[in-house]
This record gives sequence, structure tokens and C-alpha cells, in this order.
Amino acid sequence: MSTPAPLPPPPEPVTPWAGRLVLGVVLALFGVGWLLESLSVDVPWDVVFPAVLIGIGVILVVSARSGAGQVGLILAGIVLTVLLVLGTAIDIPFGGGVGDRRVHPMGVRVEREYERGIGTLTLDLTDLDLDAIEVPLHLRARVGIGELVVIVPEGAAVRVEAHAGLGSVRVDGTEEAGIDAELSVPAPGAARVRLEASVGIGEVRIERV
Amino acid sequence: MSDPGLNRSALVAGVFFIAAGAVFLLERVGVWDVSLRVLGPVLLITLGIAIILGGRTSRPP
Repeated sequence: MSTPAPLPPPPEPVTPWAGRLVLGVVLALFGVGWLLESLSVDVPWDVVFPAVLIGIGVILVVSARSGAGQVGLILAGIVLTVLLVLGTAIDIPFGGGVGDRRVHPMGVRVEREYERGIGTLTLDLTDLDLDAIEVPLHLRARVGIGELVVIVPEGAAVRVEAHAGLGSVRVDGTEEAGIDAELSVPAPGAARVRLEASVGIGEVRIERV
Repeated sequence: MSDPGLNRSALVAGVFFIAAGAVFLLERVGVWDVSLRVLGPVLLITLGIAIILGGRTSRPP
């Protein structure tokens, strides 16, 4: 009587250490970035997000031969890809920072572009010297996800072009909402300023005071 | 011949993420001015196909 062949030893459980390590590092990095943003340090999210995606891809390829399951890492990569695609499709400025920001240019000192990644951006143009600025002035204000409020002095020669990828725009009591909502309001008389105000997801509000 | 120890899902997803990340990085730094309004949906379709292919397992005869 022959003895049965011994059963092969059970395979050692493969620990997805690489996945956990990278996921931990990624979360910690985002935390550091968020903290720096809170301390008013600009973080180049435009570059950070794609770089993290490449890092996730490299770790997945390197660890694929070990047979380890990397479900968490694959999900993280999918979420990041979808965010980047959305950010591109509806023009979300990832580099604009997070949180509320209020800007109040005075006299003739005004930047051409103001932006916020996520949060509220309030641009107060009431103390801008429209008679002294170099015209025509093309101003752009953008928010990725959130709210954009632009305060314009009543009767100022400002032409407004407002756009929301997904959300609403309100200018002078008129509102448009939905996907690709936009409103264009000509300036009273010849425009000295062309204001382009847009949000990816959220609301644009132009208030005349 | 397929390697039984190979995690195909991880490999396919990894290659996809590297390619997608490189495209986004080049676009964001202004090296490659490609219309991602078109490329975005294409990337999502590719991701879907990659997930389907990565999930296929080779069965023993």
C-alpha cells in the first residue's frame, strides 16, 4: 500500500505591504500639502497629483510579480484619475489653493488673474481706480469647486462674462443654472474692464454695489 | 505562458496610471498642449477596458 503524497505546504499569505506603504505615504503627503496651504504656502497641486498617479503606477507594476493584491492602491489610482479628468474637463485650477480668500485690489494695483482651487474667492473691485488703470483691462477670476463672488461698483464700465461648468451664475438679478451655465452682461458704455468669472463646480455671483 | 504569480490587474492598472499620469503632467506643465476634453473620456474608456482585461484570469487546462 502506497502512502499518499504529502500535501504541498499552504502558500504564505502575501501582504500587500507596498500598497499600504504607498497609500500611507500618499495620505501623509496630502496632509503635509494641506497643512502648508493652511499656512499660506503655495503647493503646486497641478504637478503633485499627476506625480502621485505615476508613483502609484510604478509601485503597482513593481509589485505585480509578487502576486500581492493591491486593491486599495488601484482604487486610489482610479479616484485620482477621475479627479484629474474632471479637473481638466471643467477647468478646475488645482494649484489655486484651498479655503476662503478675499482680494481687494486698490487704485491701479491689480493682478490679471485670481484663482482658488476649492473654496470661496471674493474679489472686491470697489476701490479699483477705473479711470487710472491701463485699458482695456482683462481680468480673470476662477474657482475650481466652490463660490466666486465679484463685487463691482455700480455703473462701472465693466463687461462681465460669467461661466459655471456645473452650477449657477447670477449677474444683476439674472440667473442661469445647470451644465455650462453662462451669462454675459455688457458694460454701460465703452468697457474699460472685461471680467471673466468662472467656476468648475459651484456658483458665480456678480454683485453691483 | 502565463506567470501564475503575476497579478495582472495590478500590472495593467500600473501601466495605465503611469501613462495617464505622464499625459496629465505634460499637459499641466505646458509641454504638451493636448485637448484633454477629448482625451479625458478616452482615458476613462481605456481604464474601463483595462479593468476588464486585468480581471480576466487564465484557467488551467
